[in-house]
Amino acid sequence: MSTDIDKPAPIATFDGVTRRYGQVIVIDRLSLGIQRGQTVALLGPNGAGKTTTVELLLGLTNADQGVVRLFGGPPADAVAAGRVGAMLQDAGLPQGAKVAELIGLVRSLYPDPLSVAEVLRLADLEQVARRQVQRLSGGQRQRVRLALALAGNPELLILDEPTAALDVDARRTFWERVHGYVSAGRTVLFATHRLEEADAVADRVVVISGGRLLADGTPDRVKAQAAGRSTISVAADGLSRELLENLPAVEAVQQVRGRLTLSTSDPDATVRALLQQAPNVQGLEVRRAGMEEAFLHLTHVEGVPS
Amino acid sequence: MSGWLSYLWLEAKRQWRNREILIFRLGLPTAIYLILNAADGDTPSTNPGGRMVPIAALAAVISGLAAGPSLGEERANGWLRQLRTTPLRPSAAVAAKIVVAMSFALPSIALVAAAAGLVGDNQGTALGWAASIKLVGLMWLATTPITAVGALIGLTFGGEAAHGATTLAFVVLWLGGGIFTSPDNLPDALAAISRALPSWGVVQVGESVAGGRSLSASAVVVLAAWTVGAGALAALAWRRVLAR
Repeated sequence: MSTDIDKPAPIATFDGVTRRYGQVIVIDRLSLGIQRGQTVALLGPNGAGKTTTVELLLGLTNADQGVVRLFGGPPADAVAAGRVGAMLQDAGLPQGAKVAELIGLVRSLYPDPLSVAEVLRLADLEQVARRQVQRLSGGQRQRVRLALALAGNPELLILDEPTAALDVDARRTFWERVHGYVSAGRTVLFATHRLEEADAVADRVVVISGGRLLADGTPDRVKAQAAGRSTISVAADGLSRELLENLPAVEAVQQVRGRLTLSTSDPDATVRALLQQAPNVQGLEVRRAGMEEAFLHLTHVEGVPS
Repeated sequence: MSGWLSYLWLEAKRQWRNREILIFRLGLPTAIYLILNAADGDTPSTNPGGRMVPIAALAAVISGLAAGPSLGEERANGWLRQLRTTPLRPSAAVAAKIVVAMSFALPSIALVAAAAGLVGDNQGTALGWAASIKLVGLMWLATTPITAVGALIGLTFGGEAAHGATTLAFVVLWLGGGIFTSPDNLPDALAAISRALPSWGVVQVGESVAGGRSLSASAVVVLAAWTVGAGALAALAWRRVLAR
């Protein structure tokens, strides 16, 4: 949503979007713009709101507040105009249909599709083109779903956890295929919960958790934000929360059952001060933060208190 | 429109090449007819359509309800959602299910009529070609409300529940809807319900053609009411599916 002259207008925007399911806020005042030609990773832990973000962008569900726009209009219009191709998480395929038939069907729905041969090649499905979908392996099915997203030659490709069911090798070749497709101004948005995947594939990473935007930037920038964090956990007996919160470099404190867990940007300084102020502390554990903990930290620092 | 035709074509192909579907929808009613016809050969006839018309109505019910489980499954497994990410109009999927269900109902009814013509219905009078074609054609058109019921079931229940609801609807229409027994043989209250069911309408349409009578107004009213009512409810259910 930049108005900079040197920055092209975004093709997809979220403007203060909130989505609730019953009492649960799944997307919380999300604002975001996606530029043409970008490969954007939507990164977050399970339950972060990634799938709902994808569904909002495709017009499969509607915002309770705020506006989602795709190619300048309502998402459903962009979908109807054939400007978007999507691979949904765990979408089934109709029994009895053959691979090439399904690709042929999807092609026929779009104004400027790829040829069947090209789609089969891109998704590595030439060997099974005449096979009925229920006789495919899990990996082959996944490639069929990619093929259906690509077949219409869409300007924007949306992939929701596309590699969740794949092993490491299959994941790498999957992204090689997507790279083979992405060029000439095509835009890709994919949801993932793997930091390393976002890092390897995307040129922009958008981190969400609890439906909120936590970080947005190049993979290097987001990694730097996630790195260098550690968590320290101690038995809670006789320790006050305030004492921990006031230790140097501490960013957040959580109590889970009998233990207090704090996240810190400088574990050495925090531990030194902790031992000074509470020499009898029990069950001390120090861990480098994984991605989840890094998100926890981001939630506390950048999240707006509600 | 061309997108819808390609979808319809694929939908038809994948159902028509499924052997179990063919056996169940086309083979089963004819087999039931031939077995019953052979089993009690000399029961005196009371209905002009003999045994053929109720079993042809059974064929109409089996094929007509078929959209239910199929829609329920594709709603549950996410294929319909996947289609909604394409330019295909979402209602095209529902329309295609109904058209394909109708495409099975026609030969299914015709096969029962053909079997009756070949072996001779032991309860009814033999019909000429013209009457047979008229009978098959009108009974087929009368199947429309049953496909609407099928669509309604598929859009209301997902997956396994759609199978269960379809089976229940089948049993109600078969036992209570004038196929298993005429409403004349039922107690008054049940008979009234029976005469309000769409399968009874299908039987009535067949019997009026077989008996050389004009269509009964009450049958036409029942069939039209079910088409409009189930169709409207299916449209509401569909909007609920879209709004999820």
